[in-house]
Amino acid sequence: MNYQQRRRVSGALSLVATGLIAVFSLSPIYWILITSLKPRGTEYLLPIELWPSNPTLQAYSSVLTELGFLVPLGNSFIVSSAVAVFGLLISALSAYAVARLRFKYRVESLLLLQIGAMIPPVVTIAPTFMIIKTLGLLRSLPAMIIPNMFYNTPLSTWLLASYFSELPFELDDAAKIDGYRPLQIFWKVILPLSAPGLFSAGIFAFLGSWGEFMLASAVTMGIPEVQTVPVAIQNFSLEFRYQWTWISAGIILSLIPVILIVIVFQRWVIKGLTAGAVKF
Amino acid sequence: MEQLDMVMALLRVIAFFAGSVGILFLGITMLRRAETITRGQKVTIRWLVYLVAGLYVIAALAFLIRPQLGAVPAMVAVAASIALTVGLTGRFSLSLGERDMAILFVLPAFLGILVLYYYPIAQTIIYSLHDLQYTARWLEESFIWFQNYARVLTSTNFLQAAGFTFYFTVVAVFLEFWIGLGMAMTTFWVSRRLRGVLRSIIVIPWAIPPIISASMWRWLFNGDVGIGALLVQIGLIEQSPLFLVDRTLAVHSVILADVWKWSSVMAIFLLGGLAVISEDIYDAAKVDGARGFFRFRRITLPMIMPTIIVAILFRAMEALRTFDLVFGLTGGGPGTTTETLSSFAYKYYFKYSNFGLGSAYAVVVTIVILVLSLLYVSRIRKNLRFGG
Repeated sequence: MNYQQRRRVSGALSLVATGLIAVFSLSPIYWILITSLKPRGTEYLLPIELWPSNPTLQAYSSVLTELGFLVPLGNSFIVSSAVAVFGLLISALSAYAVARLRFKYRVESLLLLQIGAMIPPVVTIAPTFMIIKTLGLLRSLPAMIIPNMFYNTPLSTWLLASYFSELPFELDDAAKIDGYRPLQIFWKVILPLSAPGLFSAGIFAFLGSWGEFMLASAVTMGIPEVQTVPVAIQNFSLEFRYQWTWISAGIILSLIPVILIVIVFQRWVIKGLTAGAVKF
Repeated sequence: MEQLDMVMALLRVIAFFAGSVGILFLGITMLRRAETITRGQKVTIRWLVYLVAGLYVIAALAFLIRPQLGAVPAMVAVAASIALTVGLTGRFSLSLGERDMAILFVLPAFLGILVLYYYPIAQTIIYSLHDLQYTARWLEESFIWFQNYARVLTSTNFLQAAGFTFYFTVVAVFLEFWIGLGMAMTTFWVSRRLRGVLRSIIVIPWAIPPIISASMWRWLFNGDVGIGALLVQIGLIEQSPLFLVDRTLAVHSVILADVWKWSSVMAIFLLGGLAVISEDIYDAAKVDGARGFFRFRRITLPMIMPTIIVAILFRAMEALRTFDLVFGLTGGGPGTTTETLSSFAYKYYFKYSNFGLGSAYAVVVTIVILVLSLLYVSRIRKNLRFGG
């Protein structure tokens, strides 16, 4: 084989490999998508059509109107956005201290947070449920917002600390000479320069609380008005267990924001994911 | 009316949280100041500092028993700290240095983590030592030592769940590693344009919430019109397998669904490892005539070994605590074949309302994961050190 032939073969091979990975990763989603586009009842017809012969958005309109799926979608948006914003504020403060202020137990305090993150949720769920009950917040959105804020704190703190530590330290010194206090430096110097880092940590917090199920299912206690998307989907698939066009439409609706976010911000997501395991 | 109650409750929580941060910060700052002043001074004054510090420990213990009980010793501790410092310096001043600010900044995160991670763990351990049915008020129920553990560890349910959890973890993580490695190598190897596309494709399964991917796979595993039926339609097999009904198949169906979702994470981790290998090393190897598999075996693999270890530890920790996937896909069935330790714990809490047994299950899960966590932390520890 000469050089050109070899290049052509490797080009074809890489296309095939890409195709294989795409099929592996996307086919389950595609399967759900085509099911959601079939007219109600035809999802059980054989032979299976890999593209519905008469696609319809009927399932989506049923799910959004009759089944009230807008409510969990809205709830999830509120919960995830609130977690991203308020959780980030708390994590950014602690990340700033860990990355840029001099104090004794910096590594240890970060470690204490990280070890917390490794604790399986099933160990904390029962007492957390009792705390929320005592606070009188059961069956409400804050019951999910407040815990999720802190569930995402360890990862956010880590991501932000590694981001903050990359900014030049001359910034702080210059600000100090200008008479800035630590809180002012944090707010007026560090935060505005860290928009990408904040963004990436925010994405993780958003996605994390978007998919959180165990706590959400416990504290919403079957009340539809406060359910988030994962709880609603789970209830759907129990309540309408044979209406798979509906369930599929619900699944697709709840995946759209997630997939949009990860595709648009793919670079930041990957950087954030690897930050823990690999130091660049 | 109910809305108003909720808002009031929320305001109370926020006020309480902010107040706790403020008061604790005041106390800690004052105590630290007293500690600095008395350093190298008379033993009696030094002892006073330790005594006040002991008050904080008492407050923490009281909080553990009953949160309301912790308030009084905490207040006393803070007041004593202030009194001590004012007594020593003769004045009350609140000029804060950099270290004081650092403590103030980490305090909100810490308080939250303490209340939502460490306090619940301690509570769960206490629960697991009590006979708690239909209640979580362990103060009023009998303390039964390790009887819950004895019941859990000797039950066939536990043995089965532990067996499944370990089998699942080993097989799933093994498959995820090899598939992830293949995906990572491919992504690394293809042209720049395809690489971007592949990266976007790879992150998608990762981003899908586990409970939703469980619902998706329930439909894909449908016996009549699922992937089995599709395989029959193409003519690959004669009869659609009963993915979630047959015991052996159900176990491996859960593994397949897990592999689909988590191979991508493995790939992303390994991709990060591959990216830090410098081109020079490959060029040097090429000059030396190292090719294909040899290059992979002798250069790539050793270079990304640290990443591989961290990735596998990370995944194994997650796999051992699998809950959402099993809960949504099989509900533990058929029978209790695919029940994991975590899903049993959840069942005991919220289905049988037996907090004692559920907590015992949860503690066992934690102990199993603890070993891996320690290994993981020791591996990533150097990444926690930031400049400055």
